[in-house]
Amino acid sequence: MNNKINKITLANLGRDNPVFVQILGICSTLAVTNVLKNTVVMSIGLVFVTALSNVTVSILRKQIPTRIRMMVTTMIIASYVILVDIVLKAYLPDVSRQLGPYVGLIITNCIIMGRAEAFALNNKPFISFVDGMSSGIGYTYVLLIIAFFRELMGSGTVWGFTVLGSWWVKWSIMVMAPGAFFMLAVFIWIVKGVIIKDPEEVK
Amino acid sequence: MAKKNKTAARIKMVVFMFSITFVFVVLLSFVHLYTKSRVTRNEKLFLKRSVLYTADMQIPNSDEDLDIFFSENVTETAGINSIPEYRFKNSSIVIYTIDGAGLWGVIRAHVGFDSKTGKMTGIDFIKQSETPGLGARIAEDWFREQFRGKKGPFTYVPEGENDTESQFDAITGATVTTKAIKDIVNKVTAINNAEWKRVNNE
Repeated sequence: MNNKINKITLANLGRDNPVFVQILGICSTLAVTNVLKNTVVMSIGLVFVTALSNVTVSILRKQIPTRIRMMVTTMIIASYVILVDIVLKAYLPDVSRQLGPYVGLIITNCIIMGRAEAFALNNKPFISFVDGMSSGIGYTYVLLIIAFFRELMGSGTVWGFTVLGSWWVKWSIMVMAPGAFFMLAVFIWIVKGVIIKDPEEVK
Repeated sequence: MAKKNKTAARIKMVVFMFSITFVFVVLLSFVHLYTKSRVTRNEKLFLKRSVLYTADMQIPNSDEDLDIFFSENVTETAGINSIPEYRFKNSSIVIYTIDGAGLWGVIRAHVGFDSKTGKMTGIDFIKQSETPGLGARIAEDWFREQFRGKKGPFTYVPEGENDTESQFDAITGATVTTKAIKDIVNKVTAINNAEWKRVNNE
């Protein structure tokens, strides 16, 4: 059991990483990574939703009729996302105002649907929880790295504090969506070229 | 017989979907009801802080003091298009709420004037969905602070170059947003001037 947990976690963080290997959840990768703070809140929301929706789907997996499983999973995911939205509005109003419509967009993040469909429907609740959690964390650290560089180069700040002085010419493109495409591409290039080499491609 | 099973499976599907939806909706409704008063209170506090910021007044630290200050000193009336206007006791400051069209959606702002001098006391944006890092920089301090003590009608100049009473710094890379702000402040300046004339003629 422990072995399985380790294996799943490692795979989700590295070789099967949802962002740079499976290329899922790209929409939100582009949208929220221009400022580090937004990225953190978005990621916490995503980890929470992925883990809990995976558990719920897994508990119900034997009852859910196969033909309507997508409807049911969407329904479950949407409920958790609305829950996150309400909690943010009530307890962290400033963050909620900053994120605006992005919280609602967690629903459309393919990672959650993907994990529910590919993993939770065939596995037991606890291991599904681990899978959802580690997928979320795999997504989180990639986004944090991208957000760090985008905020630094685009606004000269880190977590809202000015790091680069007035001598730094801000790269406006970094704070716009295209900047994220460049960053993500560079990231994938480095990771795939240096860290995880695909044996078939290397030869 | 097979046909009967099919019908049964179909009914089961509908029943399953219906019941699971029902359960989740009920749960969410409870959470919503439980946090509702908190959410509305957060929104009210946010508006109150914004009004005081716009009027360039000291914002009380605790939420309770803020409520007390408001109930004693501020009157809220229905203004333009019945969106609220705020006036202060023993002060000539008026805060208008005004909408303008931004790049992605409506920009709603509080704009304050000292109606005696016609000078702006400040501006604050309570709703905007401009591009993060570009147009959304209107919410940053340097942008909002530059309007204090200025007098319209306004024109904008490149970032860091405003030096007269009727100029403000534009945001580089966010021309549409800057134009929207110009329209908002000029519209509200005209409203304030008309109001000022009306009061003086009485």
